[in-house]
Amino acid sequence: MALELEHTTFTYAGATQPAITDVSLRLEAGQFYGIIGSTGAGKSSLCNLLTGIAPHFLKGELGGEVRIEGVSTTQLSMEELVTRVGYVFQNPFDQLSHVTYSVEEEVAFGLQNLGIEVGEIRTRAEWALKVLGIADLRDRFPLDLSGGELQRLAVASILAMKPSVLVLDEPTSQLDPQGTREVFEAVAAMRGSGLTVVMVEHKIELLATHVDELLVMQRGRLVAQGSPRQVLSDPSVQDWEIERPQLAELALRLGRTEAAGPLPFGVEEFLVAVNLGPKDVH
Amino acid sequence: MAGPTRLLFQPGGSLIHRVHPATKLLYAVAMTAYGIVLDQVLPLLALAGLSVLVIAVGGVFRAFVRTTFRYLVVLFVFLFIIRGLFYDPGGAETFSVGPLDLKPAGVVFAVEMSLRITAMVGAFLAVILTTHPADLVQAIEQLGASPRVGYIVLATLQLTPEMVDRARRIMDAQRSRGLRTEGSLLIRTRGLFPLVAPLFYGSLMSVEAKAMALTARGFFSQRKKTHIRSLGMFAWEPGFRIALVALLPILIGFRVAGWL
Amino acid sequence: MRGFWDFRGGFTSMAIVLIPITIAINTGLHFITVALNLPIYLDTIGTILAAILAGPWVAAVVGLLTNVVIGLVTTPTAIPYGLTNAAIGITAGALVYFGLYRHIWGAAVAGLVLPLVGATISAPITVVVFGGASGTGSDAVTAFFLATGDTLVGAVLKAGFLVALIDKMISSIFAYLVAKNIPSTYMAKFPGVTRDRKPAVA
Repeated sequence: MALELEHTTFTYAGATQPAITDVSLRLEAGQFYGIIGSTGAGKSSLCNLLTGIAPHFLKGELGGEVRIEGVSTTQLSMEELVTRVGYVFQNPFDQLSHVTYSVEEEVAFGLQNLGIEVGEIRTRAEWALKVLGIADLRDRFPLDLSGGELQRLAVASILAMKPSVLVLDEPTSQLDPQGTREVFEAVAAMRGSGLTVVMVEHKIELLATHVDELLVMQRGRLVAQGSPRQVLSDPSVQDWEIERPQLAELALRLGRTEAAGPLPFGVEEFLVAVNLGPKDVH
Repeated sequence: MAGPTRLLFQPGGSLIHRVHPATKLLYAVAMTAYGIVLDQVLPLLALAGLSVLVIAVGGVFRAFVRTTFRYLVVLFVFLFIIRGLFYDPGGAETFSVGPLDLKPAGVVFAVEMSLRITAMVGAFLAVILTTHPADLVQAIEQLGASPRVGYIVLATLQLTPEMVDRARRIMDAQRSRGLRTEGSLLIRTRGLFPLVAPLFYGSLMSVEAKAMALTARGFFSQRKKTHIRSLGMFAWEPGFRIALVALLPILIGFRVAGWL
Repeated sequence: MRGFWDFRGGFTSMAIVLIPITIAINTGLHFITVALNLPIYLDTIGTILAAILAGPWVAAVVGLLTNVVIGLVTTPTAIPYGLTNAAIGITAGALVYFGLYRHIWGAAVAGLVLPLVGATISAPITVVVFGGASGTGSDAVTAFFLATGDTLVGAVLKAGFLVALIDKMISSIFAYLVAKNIPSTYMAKFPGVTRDRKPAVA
C-alpha cells in the first residue's frame, strides 16, 4: 500500500474548523488517482497530509494517522519524506528555486540539497527532463520559459528526486490550454511506470479519461472513491457539489440507461451511448 | 528580457574570469585593506591604477564605466566641492583659481579619497563583473557559509529585476488608462501606492508557497550538499593568496616606518 | 513565542524566503523612484515590512543587503549606508515590538523616529568613509549648511535628516497600509515579535 489515511482529521493552527474530517483511504502502488471536489472541499489539505507538508511545515492538530509505505508521516523527517513523496504545487513561478541559471541546474537543485553525488545528479536530471519532454530546454534560463514549460520543469525537478509517489495539486490551474495539455500528457505518460500518481484537478473531463480511480472530497470529507465511470454515474453527484463532464451529463439527460454501456467521456463513446453508432461495438 | 542579461556578470574567457572565485574575493578584500592602510597620493594612485588594470585585463572596463564609474564621478565632484571649497578644518591658507577660493588641504584630501574609493570599488567590481553569481555563491558555501546565505543572495539577484519588470508593466498599463504617474511629488507618490501595493502584497502572500516548495525539494535538510558547478583553479593561486595576505603587514610596516 | 533579542529564532524558513522578497521590494522601489525622477527612494518599505513580519534581526539583514544590491548594480557608494538601513531595520523592529504599527498614527510616529536614527548613523559614515560627500541629493543641502557656518558633522547630520524625514514618513505609512491587509492567520506563520504577543498590525 503506497499511502493510507486512517480516520484522519486535521485542523490548521489558528483555524477553528478542521480542514479534513475523519478521512480513511488506501492508495495502491502504481495507480493513478484523481482528486476532485468544489473549492474549499479539502483537496489541497489532503495533498498536504499525503506529502507530510502537514503537519511538518504547515502546523496543526493531526488526529488519526497518515502512512507512507506503512510508516507514519510523523515518524519521518521532512528529508526522508521528500524522497518518498514528491509534491508539485499550483503556481509554477513560486516553485522555482530562483537560485539557478539553467533548466538543468533547476532540476539538480533538489538533488544537491540531498547530497547526491554529481555524476548521479546529471544522469537523473537528463532522465527527468526526457520524461517531461523538455530535454532540449536544458540550457535555458528558467524565468524565460512559458507557463507549461515551467510546470513541466517543476514536475521534472520533483521526479528527479525519485519519489515512489507523486502528488500534484492543481498543476494546470494557472496555465493556458496549451500548457494544460503539455502537463497533462506528460503526467499521464508516467502511468504504468510503477510511480503512484495523485492529482488534484478542476478539469474533470481531462482527469476522468486518464485516472484509475477518482476520489471526491466535500467539506473536508471523502464522499466517494471508485473508477471514474462508477463515481460520475452516481446519482448523488449533484450533492457532492461537482459537475460531470459535459458529454457524460448530456448522455444521462438524454435518458441513457445503465444497460446502454459505460458512461461516455469522449465523443465516440457518447455516440455509442446515445445509440447513434452501432450499439454492439461494446 | 533574457535572464543572464540582467546580471552584472559579463561572460568571457579572460585570465581574470578563470581565476577561482575565492581567490578573487580575497583580492577584493585585500585591496580594500591596502586602501585603508595607504594614505598618500602616489601609493593610492598606484593602487587605483592596479585596480583598473585588473578590470581591463578582465575585459570588463566598459562595463565598469557604464555601471558604476559614472556614479563614482558624481561622488568625486561633490567631494571636491565640499572639501575643496567649503570645508576648512585647520583654517589653512587658500589659493584662488578664477572666482573659486580653493583650500589645498581639502583638494588633496578629495583626490586621495577619490583614488581610494576607485581602488576599493574597482576591486569588488572586477570580481562581480567576471564571476558568475552562482559560482561566487558556491565558492562562499564551500568556504563554510550556510546555503541559506547563498539562497538569499541568489534569489535576491533574480527577484529584484523580476519585481522591477512587474512594477513597470503595471505602471505602463495604468498610465495608458489615464492614471497619473507624473506631476508634483505628492501626486506622483500617491499615484504610486495603488499601483505597487497589490504587487507587494501578492509577493508577501507568495512567501508560504515558496517556502513550501523549497521544503519539498529538501532545501532545509541538514545533509551536506553537493554542487554541480565545477570551479577551476590555477596552480599558482594558493601562492598568490598567501602573497595577498602577506602584503598587508608589509604595507603597514612601511607606513609605520614612514616609507610610504 | 521568542523574545526581542532572539537572533537565530527569527530566521525560520518563512523568514529566509521573505528576505529576498522584501529586498526586491526595496530595490524595486529604488529603481522605480529613480526612473520616475522622484527625489525620494522609498527603499525602506521592504525593511519595515520585514520588521513587521519577522522582527528586528531579519529586517536588519534586509536593510543591509538592500544597499549591497543597489551598490553592486548601480551606485557602489550606497554600500556603506547598508549599516544605516540595518539600524533602521532594528529600530523598525523595536517600534513594531512596542505596537506602533497597530495604528496609522503610530506608523507616522515611527516615520519621525526612523529618519532620526538614519541620519545619526549616516552622518559619521558620510564623514568618515567619504569625507563629507555621499554622492546623493543631500550633498547640495550639506554644502548649503556648510556655507551658513555649520560644522561638517552638523551639516551632514541636518541635511540627512531633512531628506530622510519625508522619505521615511511616506515609507512607514506605505508599509503600514500594505501590512494592514495581511490576514492575521498568515502573519502568525512568520516569526514576528511584539511585547504583548498580539499581532504586530491591527
